[in-house]
Amino acid sequence: MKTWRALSILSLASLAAALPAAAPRKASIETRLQRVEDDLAIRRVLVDYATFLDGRDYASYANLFAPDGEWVNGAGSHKGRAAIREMLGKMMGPAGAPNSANYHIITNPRIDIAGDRATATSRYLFVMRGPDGRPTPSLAGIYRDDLVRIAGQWKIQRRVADDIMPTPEEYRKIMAARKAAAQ
Amino acid sequence: MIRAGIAFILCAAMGGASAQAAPRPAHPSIEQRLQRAEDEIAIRRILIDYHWDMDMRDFDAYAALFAKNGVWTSGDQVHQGPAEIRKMMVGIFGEPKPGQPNRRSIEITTNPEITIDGDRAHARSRHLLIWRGPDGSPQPMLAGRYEDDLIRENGQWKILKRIDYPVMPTIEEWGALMRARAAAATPAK
Repeated sequence: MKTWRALSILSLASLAAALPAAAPRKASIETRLQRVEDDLAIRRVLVDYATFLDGRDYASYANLFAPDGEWVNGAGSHKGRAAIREMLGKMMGPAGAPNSANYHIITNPRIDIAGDRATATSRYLFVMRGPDGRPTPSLAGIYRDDLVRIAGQWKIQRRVADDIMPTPEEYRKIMAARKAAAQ
Repeated sequence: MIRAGIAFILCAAMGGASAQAAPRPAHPSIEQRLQRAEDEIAIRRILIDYHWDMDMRDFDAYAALFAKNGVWTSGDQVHQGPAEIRKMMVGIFGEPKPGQPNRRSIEITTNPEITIDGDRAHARSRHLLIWRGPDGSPQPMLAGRYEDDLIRENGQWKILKRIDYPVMPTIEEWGALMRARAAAATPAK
């Protein structure tokens, strides 16, 4: 114990001597590790989003959001977990239904963390079964997220889905043409 | 015991500081292992920011990803230094117009393989360039890969050399595609 104490004092003294007075203070090991863990946890949220959406697990999807979390796109906004679940039912069909007609590829995470808040952007490529069964890139865009740490877990406070291509009007035309071709 | 713990962390940190010059320690300290994870995250971010800045047409930010002597090269093209690299981007896309975001293309960046050695690193990654197709739907146009040398410059990772290897189409095929596209976009007289 005495040796440790002596080492501790020695280390502190040499550490203080080694650092110029004006040098920026490096964050503690724990703070830095927390940041790495936060980055990994947020990456998981971005990818879980697609897993739950494509798996039609609407309860888990809604739970990725804060209780007053918001999902926004060009057509409007849905605030709160109940409203977000309702939106999914309308857009994607019944919860729990098997889905092999489409899926989301999530890439390009850019995450900035500030304490219990974070912002992130990521990209999505929505791939649908084409007429002959081949995967057909159908929608590409950018998610812009505000995240918040609630009870130790990262949650989406606000997600904005920005469809880069096609435009909503073009998308409706493409879907109508596919439907007509399938009949 | 708490003091012992603090002493241990401090000694580990000090050991880390004094051992930094030594290449690849057999038993890296906690701090060195943490630094390695932080470096990996920082370098992944550069790979992603590269395409973010390109797609957003933020050529100042794009050029600032390179080291002061950083090189961008592909085939026989070589551009050195952030100023020259910015000029290359303006040559390809024109001066960015504020308030007119790019919605014609989006890059997907994948497959990061990062090897770190002190203040130097090597990274491999892939990209898929997607363009608006004739009906507006996303169309893969170009698939390629990058080989990067990176350097820690003033505490920040920067690209020392990026080699851009288009895989498909070939440069000749790309030229033919662009000519066909330009012809299709020009109304017949």
